Amino acid sequence: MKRTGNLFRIWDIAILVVIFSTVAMFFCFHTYGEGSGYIEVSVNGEVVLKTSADGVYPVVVNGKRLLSVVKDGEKVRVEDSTCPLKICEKMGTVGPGGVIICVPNKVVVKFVHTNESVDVMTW
Amino acid sequence: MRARDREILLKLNKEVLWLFVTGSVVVATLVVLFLLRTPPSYYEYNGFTLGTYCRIYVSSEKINSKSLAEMLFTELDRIYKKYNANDPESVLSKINVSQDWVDLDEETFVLLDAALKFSNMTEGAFDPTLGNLIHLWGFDRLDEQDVRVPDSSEIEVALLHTGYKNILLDRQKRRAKLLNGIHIDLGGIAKGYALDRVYQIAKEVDPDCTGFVEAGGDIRIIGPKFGSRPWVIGIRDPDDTNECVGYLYLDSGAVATSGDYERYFIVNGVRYHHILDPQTGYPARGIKSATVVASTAVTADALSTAAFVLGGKNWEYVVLDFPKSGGHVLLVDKDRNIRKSPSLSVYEADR
Amino acid sequence: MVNHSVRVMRTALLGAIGTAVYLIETLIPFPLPFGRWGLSNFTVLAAAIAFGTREAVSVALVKSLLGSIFTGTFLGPVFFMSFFGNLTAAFAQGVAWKLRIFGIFGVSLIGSVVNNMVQVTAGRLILGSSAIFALLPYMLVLGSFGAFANALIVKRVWSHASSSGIIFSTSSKNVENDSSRFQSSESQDRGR
Repeated sequence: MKRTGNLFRIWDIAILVVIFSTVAMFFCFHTYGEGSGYIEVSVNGEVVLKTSADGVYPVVVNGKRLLSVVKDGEKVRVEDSTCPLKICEKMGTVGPGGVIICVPNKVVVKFVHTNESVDVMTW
Repeated sequence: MRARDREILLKLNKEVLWLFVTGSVVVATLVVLFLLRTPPSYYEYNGFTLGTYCRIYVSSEKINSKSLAEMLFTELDRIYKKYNANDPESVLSKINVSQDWVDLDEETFVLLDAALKFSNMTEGAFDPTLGNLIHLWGFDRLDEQDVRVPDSSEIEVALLHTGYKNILLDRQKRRAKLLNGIHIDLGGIAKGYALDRVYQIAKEVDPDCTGFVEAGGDIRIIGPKFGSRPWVIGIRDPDDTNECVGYLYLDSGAVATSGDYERYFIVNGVRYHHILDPQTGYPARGIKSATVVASTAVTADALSTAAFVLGGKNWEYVVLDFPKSGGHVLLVDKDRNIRKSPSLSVYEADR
Repeated sequence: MVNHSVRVMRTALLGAIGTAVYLIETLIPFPLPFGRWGLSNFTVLAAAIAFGTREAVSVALVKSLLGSIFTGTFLGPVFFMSFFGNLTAAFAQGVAWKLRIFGIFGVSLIGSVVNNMVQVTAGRLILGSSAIFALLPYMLVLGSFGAFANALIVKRVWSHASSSGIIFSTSSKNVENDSSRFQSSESQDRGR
């Protein structure tokens, strides 16, 4: 049987549909940034900093400063990273629910939603 | 050679068409995903009705959230005026003053019927006929000056003119008659009913609308937060306005709390609150607050009152038996022990 | 009879093209961190379609090793993510083409999806944090674009090859006697 070089066959479209619907579902169920929260900085999977206060926090491991985490209200960003490509700095600022990852330094900065933010009280 | 060129050209044209179609589909999907992803905005309406502070927090994509909220508030206010026992013009007052059968509109009939259903279910712990007692204690008055503890003889007299069995409902002719000079007070169920009505109206206007309505601490969920997340509801600590004894996560249904801190006065160091025990005529003792989660606000409202009254006597019964009637209970007793239905854990986990 | 030197030559050629594109590609901005459009993967796709799984994996190996050495990320954490991603993607593409139910775009898409999933999983192991999974949906969508571009390139290569008389790929069983693959256009014309 001679194989034709079709660009698309029916299964291709099926896969595409599956991928896009999966992604669409992710966005549908994804929570929107709510407001208050705290940041959690982990190095190598280990949480080294957990705070809800604004400020500049240097992340130091074994006496070596890797980068600085800047929390400013609803935003958090990374500054002065020692990694070569500075991708984490280029990620800019993220809000609650967001995450900044610096792969070379193995640093993950998470802006965690606070669940204790009560919508309404029963009394 | 020319024929083959044309063939290739034709093939290329087909390919270009394909590219165009898929390309547009992909771009359209991306636009929908990334650009049109604006979070629904909630409109918050605060107002005073149902004798308390009400908060409507709704979002609709079909109609303006603000006009929806105002529409819902109008409905709350309508029900409050209709069933306000203190207003001589209200439907309820007309039933209360009449010595004979009173023809009822369908809404009132259904509401009274529901109230009696909860009275039967709780064997009188929830009683809508405590009007005389409440008046004697002064909990129907807005000013809380010159409050006093009634004499026991006065209470005994008032107790004679209470009791849900003194309401006669005539189903065929849709009318009601009150015996023994009782006075109906729907304070323990009208709020719940109003909240359920508001829910129905909101869903009729826009089946996809979300949010919640709160009336004096009783909450009816209209739809999940942003369409997907449960609402976080704090259960108020009976001893501290700003603290919570627990959290509930609801994306549907209702929750209501009865507490001894809502309306009370203190005489000689004893707190006299507004939730009266229909058996003794005195404020029910032993419980500081009773919270009930149910699928409707009427159930939650009525059962929270009943749970408060019964909880001091037999909390095991309340905690274990009420879930069978559809109410999942959390009690805080006078020693701050928290007793809750095992079935309540469903609402305590943040999914 | 498999001609060993032909195979080495083909791998080297595709690997070299892939590396070159890989380097040029770093200049094209990509909206996500440590991601790329993956345009160099068309060489792997072409290898998978024309020559089979083994050569696709070889090309991917050459491309990611050389590419990472030239960009200076060799043996860094990002390297491991893309390295494992590329190899498994090459393997997946070869297998997908052999299944005979997917078109070029489908195979390319499978490669892109597998690549992204493996990268994210490797990233999770390296970082020790599941946070990286948050990026996956974006990577999948953007990867589909890259996959489409790659499929388009390979399709063009195929059209060009067949119009100049070279059979690009006939059926998967031809992996064995692939020396007949590069026939001259004259012999092809004569055959007709």
